[in-house]
Amino acid sequence: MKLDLVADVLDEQLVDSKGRQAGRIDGIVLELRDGRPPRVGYVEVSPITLLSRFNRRFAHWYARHDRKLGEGRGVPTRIPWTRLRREGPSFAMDIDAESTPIFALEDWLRRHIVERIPGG
Amino acid sequence: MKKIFEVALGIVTSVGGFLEIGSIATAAQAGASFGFQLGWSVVLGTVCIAFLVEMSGRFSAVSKHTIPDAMRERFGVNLFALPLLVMLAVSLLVLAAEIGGVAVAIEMATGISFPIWALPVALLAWVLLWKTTFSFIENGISLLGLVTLAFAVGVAKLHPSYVAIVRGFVPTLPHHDKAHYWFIAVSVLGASISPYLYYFYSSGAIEEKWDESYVGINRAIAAIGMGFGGFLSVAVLVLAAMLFHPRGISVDHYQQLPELLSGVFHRTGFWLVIASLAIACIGATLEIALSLAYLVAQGFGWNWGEDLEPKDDARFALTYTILIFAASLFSLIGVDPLKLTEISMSLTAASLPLGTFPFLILMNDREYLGEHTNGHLGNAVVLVISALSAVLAVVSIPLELVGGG
Amino acid sequence: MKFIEAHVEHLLGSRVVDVNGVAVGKVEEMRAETIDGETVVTEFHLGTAAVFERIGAFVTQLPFFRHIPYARRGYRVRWNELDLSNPYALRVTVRRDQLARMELDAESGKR
Repeated sequence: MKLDLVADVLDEQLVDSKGRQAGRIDGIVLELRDGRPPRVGYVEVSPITLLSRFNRRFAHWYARHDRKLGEGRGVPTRIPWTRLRREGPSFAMDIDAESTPIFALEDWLRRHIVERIPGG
Repeated sequence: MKKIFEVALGIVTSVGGFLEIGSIATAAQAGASFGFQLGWSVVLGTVCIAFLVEMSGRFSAVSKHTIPDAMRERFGVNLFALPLLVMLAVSLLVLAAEIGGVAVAIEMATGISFPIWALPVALLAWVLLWKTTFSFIENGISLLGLVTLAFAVGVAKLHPSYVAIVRGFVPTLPHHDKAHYWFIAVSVLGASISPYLYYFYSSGAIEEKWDESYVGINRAIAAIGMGFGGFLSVAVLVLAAMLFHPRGISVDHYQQLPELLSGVFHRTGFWLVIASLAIACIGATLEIALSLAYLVAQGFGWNWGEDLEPKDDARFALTYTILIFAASLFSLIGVDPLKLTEISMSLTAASLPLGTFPFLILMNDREYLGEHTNGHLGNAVVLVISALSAVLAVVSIPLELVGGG
Repeated sequence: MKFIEAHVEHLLGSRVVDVNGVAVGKVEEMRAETIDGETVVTEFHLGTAAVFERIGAFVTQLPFFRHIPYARRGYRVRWNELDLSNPYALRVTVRRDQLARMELDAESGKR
């Protein structure tokens, strides 16, 4: 089965095991191996990865601030390629996004702002 | 049977959404300054947006993607960033103009000057988005928006020469004030061909869970809905042409707009114009805010949807919140809404190709559309009109500024 | 320094030269296949033709497409022809004229 990584994987929508939209595939990590073709190892979902496609320095700046938000933050979230499969227009992962930092900003905003406003 | 009902609803939706401060103000200025002569710009703009709206509905129904989804996926982040940023900036100005429109309508009703109303209007718009659903907004605003039919009734009562009106649908060159003529033409085009409209329509199709079976209905909705909206714009132009042009009056202040109907309907006419302005602008405010929030959320892949509660799509909800309040700042500090309208409409026209050219590439992509890709006519119409608008804008805006229009 | 990872989104758009330093083109696409349960990159597509392949067949069907300079120039580089030891300075291990060219099918825009 052939796959064009840029056209068919990069920037595609990711959906988690509960059917929620979990961001887009911002980056793809290849494992380089001597004498063997590079292996598709992980996809990255993170504003850090996204920003690094425009400007590395800005991405580092963002990462530094993101690190302050807690444990394990400040680095892009990686999803192993083996946990993904194509589902219609998106890629489905068999992981609950809640268990990853993907929804970290969304959750923070929900707890600290949205839920404090009536009708949220 | 259900589908017929949906067509009717869709048409009502389009009518309610088409007429807003941009189309009302620019049509009034066109009529006042040049009589029926600029009718062609309304027709051209309406034809173009009808094609664009039909395309965007077809795209989403068949591919199950929204336009921003597809833009990022097909063109990648680096190419997608430019149209995104330009559209955000220009649409924010349009949003500011719409909020200003509601504020001015309230000023005319109460006598209290408009900057005071900027925040209350923003708050009203925000509450509607935060607490209600997509259907509620669409249907509610559309039904209320039918008040704009008053403009058409007003025209009928004045018994104009319909032949003269139709003659204006053929483009002619101006005899006087050339720079101003083209500038108004550009503003009319920018007011009719609003990118946020077809972006919004594409997300709406997904919210309403359209599929391939809606392709036919979509065509009817786009043609009749946009056509009807264009018809109402022409009505405004005709009223201004008959009431202002002969007296050599140009439209420079919003306070002049009620005169469009006060002659025909007297006191009621005054209230009809104010109601039309307020309802049309609040409707546009909601649509633009949602459209931009959709654009951002879909670009980043966040959860989105007006039918979701804000706690399920916090980033989407906060995006439209920030946009509405940021846009209200213009009116808050007293920027004249009419000037804001002129500027935002001409900038829209100038930046049209940035959105339409990539969109056309998507509309011919078999992977997304299968056998429903564009025909030559659709491609040609959109290509020509958006290129034309941009060229006219780039030429006429500097001339207008220099000429002191 | 040995690089054990490379990012697709950074390789995208990177310039590649051949063994003699002659410019080959920019990386525009990476084709992967699933072999023995692993998904591996088998080819790198370089050059303008690869861009058009990605953006859409419609563009290749335009009447003036043939006249766009370098529009059809592109190369298919097999994984073992590309030296990834330094992702910041990519080179192919052969001469440019030894690389397979990309031929765009006028019908579908694909090969």
